[in-house]
Amino acid sequence: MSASLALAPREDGARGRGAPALARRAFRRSVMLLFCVSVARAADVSVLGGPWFMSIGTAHLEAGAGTDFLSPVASDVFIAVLAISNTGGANWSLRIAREGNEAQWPAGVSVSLRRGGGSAEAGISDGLTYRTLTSDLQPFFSGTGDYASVEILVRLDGVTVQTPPGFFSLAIRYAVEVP
Amino acid sequence: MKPSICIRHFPIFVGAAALFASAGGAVHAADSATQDVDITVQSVNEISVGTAVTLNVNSATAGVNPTGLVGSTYSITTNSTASKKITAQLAGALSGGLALSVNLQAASTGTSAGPTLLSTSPVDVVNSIEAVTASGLTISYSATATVAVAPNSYVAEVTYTIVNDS
Repeated sequence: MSASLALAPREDGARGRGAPALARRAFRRSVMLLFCVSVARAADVSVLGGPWFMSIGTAHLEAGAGTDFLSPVASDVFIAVLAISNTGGANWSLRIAREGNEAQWPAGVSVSLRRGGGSAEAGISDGLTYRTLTSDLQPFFSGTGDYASVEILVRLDGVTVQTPPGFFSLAIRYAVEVP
Repeated sequence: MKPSICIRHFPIFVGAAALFASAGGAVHAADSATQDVDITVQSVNEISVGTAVTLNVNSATAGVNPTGLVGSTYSITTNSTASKKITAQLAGALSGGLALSVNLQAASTGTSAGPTLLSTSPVDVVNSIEAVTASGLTISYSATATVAVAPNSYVAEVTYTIVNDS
């Protein structure tokens, strides 16, 4: 009862004119916020290609017995095609990180990625030099609009005779973000 | 009374906007995909020796069997986490009165067994080898021949093998 009395319009109309204006402003702000939310897009990234596997053995020694493994032991090896879609023509950036058990991965061995840079990637910025994967998402390359085929190449460094024989696994995370 | 209705809805609009904003991230949206990378590092245990050598048994002093010496080299790469050793053995028995010994220089992680007489059974020539790469390590061959051995050319084939150090 007290609230309704307080909000009741006065005869001079001062309260009555201010309240609707405030409400309209609030409404417009709300609509603007909702509009901003509605235009934010979640572009999709998909990896075309399965897991990448490499077996490192005698064939990867620099020059047979008495020498160590090649360094890098692999370079410019194609591992995947990325497709970036549903961007609605918006700008996007692709970030990469490594996932998996860090403790299980052999010390000193690093995985780096770059993109192929072919004609299908025209307009994409950055990503042509190798970027070493870390557990933190880091910028890889960026562009505008959809791309159906972005080639990803890998380089593997740091395998030496001090690297214990065994099976090691990690996952590469590709994340596309639309600002 | 309309103003009072609008005022009451004001926090609802703002609240709804805030809810959408927080739920949708509003600033940016992201999608991600992952790809597995699997690497297998195989056990590598490689040894190589230099080309064939000729050992002349023509040095003798009175009262002592003739002897001969010659050198060669070998290289080794192993990534084993278990201790390894190098064994040596003759492919076939030598003629009676001939004896061949070998002495291998150890890599930084191994221990040489010193001069070792070879036979058709494997004998240890370097022990306790850990992961290492080394090249140009010396092999010293030493042969002796009794006076009963007829002057001639004899062939001895020596096989070196990296095996687990027991």
